[in-house]
Amino acid sequence: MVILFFCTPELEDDIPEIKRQVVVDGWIEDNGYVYVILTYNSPYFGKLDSASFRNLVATRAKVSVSDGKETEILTLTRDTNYFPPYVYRGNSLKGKAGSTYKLLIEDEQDTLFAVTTIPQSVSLDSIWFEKNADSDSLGLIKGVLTDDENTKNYFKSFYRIKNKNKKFIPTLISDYDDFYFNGQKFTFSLRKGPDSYIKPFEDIYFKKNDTILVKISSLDKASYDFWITYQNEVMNSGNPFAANHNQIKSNIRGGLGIWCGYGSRYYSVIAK
Amino acid sequence: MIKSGIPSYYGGRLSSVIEVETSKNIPDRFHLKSNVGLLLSDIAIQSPLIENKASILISARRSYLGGIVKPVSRFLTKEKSVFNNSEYSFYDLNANLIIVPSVNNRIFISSYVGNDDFSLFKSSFDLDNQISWSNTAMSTKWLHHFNNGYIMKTVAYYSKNNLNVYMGQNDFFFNMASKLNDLSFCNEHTFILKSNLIKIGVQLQNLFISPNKSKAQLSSFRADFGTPNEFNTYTISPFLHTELNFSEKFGLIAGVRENSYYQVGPYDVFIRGQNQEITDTMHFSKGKKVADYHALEPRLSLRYLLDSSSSIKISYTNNVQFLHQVNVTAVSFPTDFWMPASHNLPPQKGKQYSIGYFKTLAKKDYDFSAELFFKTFNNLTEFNGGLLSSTKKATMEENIIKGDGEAYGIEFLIKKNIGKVSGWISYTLSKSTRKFAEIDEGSSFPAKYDRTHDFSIIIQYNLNEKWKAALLFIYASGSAFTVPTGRYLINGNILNQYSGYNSFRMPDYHRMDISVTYSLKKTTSSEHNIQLSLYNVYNRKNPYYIYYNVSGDLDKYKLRVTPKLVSLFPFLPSISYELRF
Repeated sequence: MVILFFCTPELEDDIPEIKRQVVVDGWIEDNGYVYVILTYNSPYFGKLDSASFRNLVATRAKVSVSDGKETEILTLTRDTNYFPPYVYRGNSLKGKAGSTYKLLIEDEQDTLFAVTTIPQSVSLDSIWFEKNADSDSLGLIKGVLTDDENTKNYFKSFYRIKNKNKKFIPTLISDYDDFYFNGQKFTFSLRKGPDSYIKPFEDIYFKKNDTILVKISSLDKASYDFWITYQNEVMNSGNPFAANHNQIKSNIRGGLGIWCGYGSRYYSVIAK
Repeated sequence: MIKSGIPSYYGGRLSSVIEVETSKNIPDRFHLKSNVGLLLSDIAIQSPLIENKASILISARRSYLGGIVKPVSRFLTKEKSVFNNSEYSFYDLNANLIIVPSVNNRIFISSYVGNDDFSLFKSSFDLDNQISWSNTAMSTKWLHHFNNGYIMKTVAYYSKNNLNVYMGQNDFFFNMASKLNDLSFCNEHTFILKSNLIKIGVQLQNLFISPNKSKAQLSSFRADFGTPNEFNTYTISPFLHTELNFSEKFGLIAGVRENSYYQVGPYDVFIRGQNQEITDTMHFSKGKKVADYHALEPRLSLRYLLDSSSSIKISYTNNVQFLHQVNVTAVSFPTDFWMPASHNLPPQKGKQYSIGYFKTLAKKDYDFSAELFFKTFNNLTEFNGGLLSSTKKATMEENIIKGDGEAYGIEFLIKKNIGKVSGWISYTLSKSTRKFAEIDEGSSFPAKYDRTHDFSIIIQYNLNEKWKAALLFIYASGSAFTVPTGRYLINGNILNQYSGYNSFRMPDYHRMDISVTYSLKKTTSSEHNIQLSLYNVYNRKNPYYIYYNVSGDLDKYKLRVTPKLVSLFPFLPSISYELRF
């Protein structure tokens, strides 16, 4: 009696043209150099192929970062660890916890500006691999963090499996606000997140015998606001009970995206 | 249904009124009506308890619609999207007692319980969404006839509305409970003087609302959401309603309702700093006034008989609503929360003007009406965050934005009342818009349920004593929604850019239902009928929700975004057996 059905409504012809804007995906780590990936936005229903892709990448911008004392102009390099594989990189100005960094981008007729800070990193009390109750070979990464009740803290968690992942990937549900555990001992569980939600992804548990590198990063409020709205958007797309025209909260003036400072600590966990 | 010229003894809402009355008479014998079908079953039993003095009516209904919702989850699972399985069911139960202690007194005691459960599950992420909503209500009404020209009605009722939203994944769960309790009392005196009527009375209401009581736990750690938001309100509404017939041609309905509304403690008002941290708290102890609002609602309606078969009616209605319905999701689903008017959230106000022409045709076989209306609204609300962000203490009020709206249109109705073929045709042409300073820089946008065209036709055909048939066809313009106009890439994922709030339309909604009833047996004391009903005869995929499927492989420079329309309720044939005695 029940009939499965769906259809594709014809919306594409009625979508108005959008104004082209520069999109920033930029970050600076404590004791790390600057990375900035620049692209352009595009019409929502437009197809992407190798020919149209070239139009999405901004490779002629002048990108500079300043900590108030030193200013560095970044150099465009090719790096296949990222998509698109064109990254503006620094090699002299290094991030320092407690400092503020201003990003200035000049691209054709657009000028973009953003500010971020690198908060102090936090130290975990403990971190370990815990097998799932119903499996001998799969499990979660668990950790304990004691939150400082005197400071407002935001965290982001990443993982990288040695010899399997080229870069750190955000865990599934990776953004935390200490509003819920201010001043308390907070036990958290980490699951693998997808490298991209575009491809089907079902493998969320860590495997036994893997060596997992975990990065716990502190970030400022503007960065957290971006990443939590980003997380809601990519995780809940298709869920009618969560999606509600989620507006991403960008900290880029004159453009889209994020300029984010991370105060990070790294841990190595062997899943056994 | 009352859509214009709403009498002053109804208040508390900006919208129309549907009056539903159960039978006021004591039956002379036992009656049973039962319907057993493929989609749901119901039963109603009515019986005298004491001859001419007391009777009882009990009815119950239960669905088994779980299979109907599966198209949503099956389709999304096939696309390897979010959902894997879903279930839906509902039941309700009514019990009514009528007691007639004397000729001049009738007492009605009614109760109702209803519950709906909906769940969605995605096995690959171990994600589990469950939503349940329930209503419980009890009322006692006492009608006392002093004489033929003076009736007193006294009603006391209590209702409880609960909504529960649960999301779980492995060792993490989040639960939000929303509650609205209503305790009300009304005393009304009606005086009938020849063809005139005067009604005077007062309504008292106490509301307790807990919009978002939240719990979250991760392993053994339980999140601290602080003291949950709770609201206590009182409303006192005296009213006067008059129906005056100055002559055979000219009649006037005039009334006024005054509302005094109070929000009382215990309650905390947070003062926030630049970074939204709480810098100070104003605490109001139990019973202490936090906020108050006063509103007068004049009502006026004039009727003029043009001739024995036609009339004109002009009306003006002023309404106030002290409850805000906060919609937090993209779909039409009962996940709305209720927020009362409070210290920083004033009540909604509305004004309606209408003019109508009414005519009976062909010796009262047909009724025709045409009615123009214009409405304005102030202090309407929209929720400026997502469901998951509504968990934070005080975030609900702080994420509600206020704006205005207006609606106007014309409605036509033609009814055939008697004969083998009866039914009606109705058509409404209308426009409903909103304006919020925080949305689209304050420019006007369509309301979510703005429906330019709304058409329906119902035909009932009594072929003979054995066979009856009925047809329903409805057509409505698609509701407004926001579509992403652009996209961009961050960290290997596609993010949407939205512009033009509610600037797009869902595909139009239309469907046809047909039913055929055959009388198996009919005697003076019983009826046995069998009914075949066909819901959505031509299997129209009416829109419920649109989401955007992103597929491809960035490493291969391939990406495609495809809008997917989710529909519920396909073609549904059903057979049911009805018994009455």
